[in-house]
Amino acid sequence: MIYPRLDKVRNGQRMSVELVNRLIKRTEYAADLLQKYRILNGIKTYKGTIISLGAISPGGATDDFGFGFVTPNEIYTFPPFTAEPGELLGPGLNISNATSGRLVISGGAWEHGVFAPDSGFVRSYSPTGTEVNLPIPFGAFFVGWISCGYGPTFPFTGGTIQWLTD
Amino acid sequence: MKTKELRPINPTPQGVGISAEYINSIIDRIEDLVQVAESQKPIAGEGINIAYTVAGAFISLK
Repeated sequence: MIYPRLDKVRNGQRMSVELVNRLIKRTEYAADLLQKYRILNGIKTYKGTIISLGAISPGGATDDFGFGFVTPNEIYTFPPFTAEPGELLGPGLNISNATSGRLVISGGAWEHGVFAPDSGFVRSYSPTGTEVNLPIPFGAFFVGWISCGYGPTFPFTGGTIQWLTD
Repeated sequence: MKTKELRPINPTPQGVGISAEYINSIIDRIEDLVQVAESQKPIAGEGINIAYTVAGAFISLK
């Protein structure tokens, strides 16, 4: 919500609750703007956010595995799925842009993988729904995916994924 | 920013009198912050979509 520009005070003016509240509301207005305009999918530095073509999510496109790119605060629903024996990746999402916040996963048999140049490849399986905290130390180099089902071992019963930003 | 960092005031047992000048320096600082915040809005160029969300601005290719 927009709050009006602050007027200057004069000598002898009483420090009123109204004045303090106007200071607070105008400050909160600025804080809201800074939060709203914060660029999510870039490389964060002290002086700003660096945007490169590689950091921009191709809207509506998929990655090399055919995965769509996760966007923040959207609930993705996946139907039941059973992968073929030896099949590594069922339906899923590319989470390479999710460099902060957390992924909240419900349902069963999720597989999540992380690839980072400094840390190698990490993959884990969850037989039940879980909350995955993204490895923020991987920072800008973080790429990864979430997929459901892993061969016949973990038939997927359906579930949801949501990337919540903090 | 046009203004300089504000210095905190020190409490005293008798309380603190705050001058109109000091309050105005706080107001100037806040207005400066508002200007900076308003100027940070990312603008979509050709082939770019920007979704402004509560969490921030999400950039994607068209």
